[in-house]
Amino acid sequence: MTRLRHLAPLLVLALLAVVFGVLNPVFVTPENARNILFQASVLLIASCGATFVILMGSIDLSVGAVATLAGVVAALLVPSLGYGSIFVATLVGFAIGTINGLLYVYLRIPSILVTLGVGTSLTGVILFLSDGGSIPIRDAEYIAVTQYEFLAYLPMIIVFAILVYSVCVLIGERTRFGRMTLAIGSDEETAKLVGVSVDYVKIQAFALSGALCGLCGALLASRLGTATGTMGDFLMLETITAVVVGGTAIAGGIGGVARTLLGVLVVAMLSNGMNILAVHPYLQTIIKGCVILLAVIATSRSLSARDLS
Amino acid sequence: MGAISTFYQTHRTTLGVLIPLAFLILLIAVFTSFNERFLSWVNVFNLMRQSSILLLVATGTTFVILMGAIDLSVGSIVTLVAITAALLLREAGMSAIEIVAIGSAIGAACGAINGVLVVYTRVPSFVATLSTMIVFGGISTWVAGGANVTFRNAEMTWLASGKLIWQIPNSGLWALVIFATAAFVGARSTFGRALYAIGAGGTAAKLSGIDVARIQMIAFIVSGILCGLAGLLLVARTSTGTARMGDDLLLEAIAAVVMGGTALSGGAGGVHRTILGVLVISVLKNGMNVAGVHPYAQIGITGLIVIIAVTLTLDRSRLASVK
Amino acid sequence: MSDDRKPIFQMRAAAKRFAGVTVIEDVDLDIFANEIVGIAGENGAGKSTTLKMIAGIYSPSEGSMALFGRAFAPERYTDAVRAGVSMVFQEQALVPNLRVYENFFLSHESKFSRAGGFVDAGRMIDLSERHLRKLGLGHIDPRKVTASYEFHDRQMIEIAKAFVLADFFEVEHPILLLDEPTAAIGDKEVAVLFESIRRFRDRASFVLITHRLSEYMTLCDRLYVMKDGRMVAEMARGEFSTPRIHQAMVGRERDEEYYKEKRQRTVADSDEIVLSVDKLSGGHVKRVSFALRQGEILGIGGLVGCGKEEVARAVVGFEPFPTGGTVTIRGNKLPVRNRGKSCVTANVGFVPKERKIEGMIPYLSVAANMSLAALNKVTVLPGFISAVRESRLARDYIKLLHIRTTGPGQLCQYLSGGNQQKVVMAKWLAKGVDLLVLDNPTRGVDVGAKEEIYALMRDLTAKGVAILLITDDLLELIGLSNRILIMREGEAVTERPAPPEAKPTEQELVSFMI
Repeated sequence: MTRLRHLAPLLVLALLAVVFGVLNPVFVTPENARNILFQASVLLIASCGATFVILMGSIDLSVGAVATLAGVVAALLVPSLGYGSIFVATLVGFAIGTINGLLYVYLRIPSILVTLGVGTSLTGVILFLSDGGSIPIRDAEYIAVTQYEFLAYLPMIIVFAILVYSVCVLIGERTRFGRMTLAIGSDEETAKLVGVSVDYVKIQAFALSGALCGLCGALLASRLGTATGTMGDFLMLETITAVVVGGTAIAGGIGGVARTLLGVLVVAMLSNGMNILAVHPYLQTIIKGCVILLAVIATSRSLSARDLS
Repeated sequence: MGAISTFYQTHRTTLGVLIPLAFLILLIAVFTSFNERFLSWVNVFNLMRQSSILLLVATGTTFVILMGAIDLSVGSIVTLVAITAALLLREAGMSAIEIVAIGSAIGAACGAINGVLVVYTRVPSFVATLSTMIVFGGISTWVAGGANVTFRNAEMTWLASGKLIWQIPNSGLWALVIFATAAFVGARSTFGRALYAIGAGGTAAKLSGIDVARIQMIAFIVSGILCGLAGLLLVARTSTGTARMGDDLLLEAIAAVVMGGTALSGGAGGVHRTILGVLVISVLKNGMNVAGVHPYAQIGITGLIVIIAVTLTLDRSRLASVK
Repeated sequence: MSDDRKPIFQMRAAAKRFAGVTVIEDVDLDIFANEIVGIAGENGAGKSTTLKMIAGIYSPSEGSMALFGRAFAPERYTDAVRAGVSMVFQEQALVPNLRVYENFFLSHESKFSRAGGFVDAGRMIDLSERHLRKLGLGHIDPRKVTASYEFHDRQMIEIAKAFVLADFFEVEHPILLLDEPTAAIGDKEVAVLFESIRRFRDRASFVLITHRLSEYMTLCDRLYVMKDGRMVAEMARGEFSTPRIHQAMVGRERDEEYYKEKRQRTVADSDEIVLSVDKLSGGHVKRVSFALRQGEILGIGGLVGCGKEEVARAVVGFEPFPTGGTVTIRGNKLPVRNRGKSCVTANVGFVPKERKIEGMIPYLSVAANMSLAALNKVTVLPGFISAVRESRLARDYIKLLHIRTTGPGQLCQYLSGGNQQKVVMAKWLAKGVDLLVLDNPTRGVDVGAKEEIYALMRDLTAKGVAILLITDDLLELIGLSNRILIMREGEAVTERPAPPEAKPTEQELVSFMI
């Protein structure tokens, strides 16, 4: 069963490539591959953070709002700070993530409610800052942050994404923090019994997720050349889909950041393929909604270790 | 801290009603001080009109939460029914009765889909309804065709804004009647009892012969129908259907339910309590309007108040580990 | 063993109370170096609580502990571990999805960290490998995920963890507490486990709790016996034998009055067969067959893990249950799918072992719990509950069963265990049952309430209700049953009639169980 969990995303990836490639050969051109990676980069960054939260058995429904807010803040600060606004955006995300974590841990409100509430509150702030419209970015350097072609081929944003991903994989596999998120998701009571400071880890995970969403927002603004009030909305569903499709269980305890890459690629491929085939945007949303459902059904069938006895 | 929580635990039920009530009174006092017109009949009726939609949705949500599940798609169902109704009214010129029937049917179908997913797959209700929330949302946007759908139908307008009894707006009337019925069903029927049993002790309930699957299906369908009715009222009131009309209702409904005193883990509280939470939120929104608070700030404040209120009223003794 | 040796651990006059209920009282216990100590006692005697106090999971309400000559008052399990006391839990306190070496050092990784929180996995693995080899457990690869190992190996992992951490915290001679380690493993693995324990004795001390009395004989140097929360005997090797242990544990005569043996109904062949189980198999259970008539009590006994609980589950349809073979109620074969529903319809009632999760709903009122299976009896209009009728039903049963409660509206969580159990039974009485399956019905119930439950059971059989009784309490099994079935390792090894004038002895039954 675990082997299926490992292989499935790869199989799905291959299947999508074949299906879309057959339906429209444009899909398999190098330009399109680059497009896919381009689109996937932002999602990858946010999904890395989301993976830690989901691994613990929690959920963060505020990812979209945080990214949007951070992006708007960044866009507003670009005229005065240039790239510096990327750091500010990340900091904003970190702050909100920490608030999420604190509310979750100290008020003992389930993460679904906390992040839903915080996310909704943020929309008010977003509307206020953006005045309901969009904030164009005229600083060419800032835009170049993501769009500058490294080695005349690879847009910078892909490089960023790979960097963030690698760091997160390291964190997940090699640090105490990474280990503890897995432990908490797998068996929180045992973890507490043997001395893991569960509360602290939870706050850290949310803070990290928030920071990465903040970074995401700033990079999104750079990529789009503008910041709008809804630019981050897609993230909520797509990060959860990417994490689950990649092989991390929705209830936590199994999986990891490394696998999220596959999930992100699947989601990005799906979007890209559907766009090339000119699938109606509304139908695309519907399909994406179904994908997450199928992914969870499929992964919840492979039993967790405890069930085996 | 220990002494406070012990006090809290022993007087749980009374506090459960007193706190939201106190909140309500405080809000009313604050807003009246900003503008004495707040307590005028005109505004009270306004309030009824505005809160009728949330009341319907929150009532349905209470059923679902009582049994220990959650329905994230409520907002999307409202939107879907609203938009579809608007379209049908504009294009097919149907009568109000037919629209009400169709709207309820759509709501029921959505609820049934949720029910099937939760009962027959091992997917937790929050994921299942997260998906359906997206799917229904997608269908709504597709139906709306990217624009607002306006129509003109005197019957529908009367349905929402007409006055059957005295000066009370019809939407408020329907909402209250339906709420009262639901509250009665929740508190006194075998179905309601089964909901509590499933939420408070699913295994024991099952072993005692309760048909958990059937009850869960019914609860989701009822929630869907109530959302459908809310959507109809919404579109009747504004004679317009827009793509994201119902989205805000999700958080407000959950908050209203929790504030009213129904535990998020299920098994305690009840439909009859939800009206308290609905009132708090409605008074808050209405009051902020009357006081002239900026719309953007309103959203922020609502979110904040919701978090505070939920913190105070959430029953944590049941949550073994908070996820 | 010899009086001039000082114990490495001492517990004096320890007591533990939970919410006013005294679980253990006036307990003294010593552990010496390099010895294996056993604590014997019935369910509820207090052995597990005592162990958990040593492990720091509970703090004593009274009394004191000393470890290696110093005062010992751990506030949590981790404190005990740091001081050298580790517990091997029944289900292992290991996180299943972590690797073995990660589980060894979980929460203690700071000693292996480099800058930025990065953990030196290499060193952790080396250390783990070294210890595993030293303990003769070289076949366990610390890099593998813990869940991939079988139960008995996971036990070894937990034992190894104790040694690894003892070394880590520089404790020379750790104490390992073993809580029913043999409950879920077979004979072969038991032998391996005991072999290992004997080997490790030269560098650690062990405290053992088990339900198999023979294991105390095989392994222990000294034995304590607890009964009703107190230490009633301390025996050295050579002084104890299975009968002597049993005598001390149970310490009372089987009281025929207590079990209302005079009221035991004589079952005639003309009594209808209510339950028929034919070649039931699946899970641990292997081809078990028996039949039960109206008004008869069939008791099934056996050690923990013998399969008797799975048999009960199969009869009531409580998933997961063994699905091989057939279960017939009054001539109607029960389906496999939705068996639970069919059983309730077939008038089968189930009083489960886990009262608070499976038997009743603590957050609902007494009345709501009682009417749960018979809602149609308290309705006025179809589908609507009449508060008056429900209340009346509740009051009737409160009176009938002498349930101590403030009224039908009281939440069940505030009732004592015995009264809660009565509420569960009232639920089935309210519905009306032909067969009642009871799984350890008097567990956690005080003596007085137990007697009332026994009387109730006799009342039911007089009315023709058949009772299937699963219990760990031997005396109860003997006193109540018309016939006794003993299971061992999934098989029914003996079926013996138990008429009031010719009840079997405990020794006789125990010999079949082990």
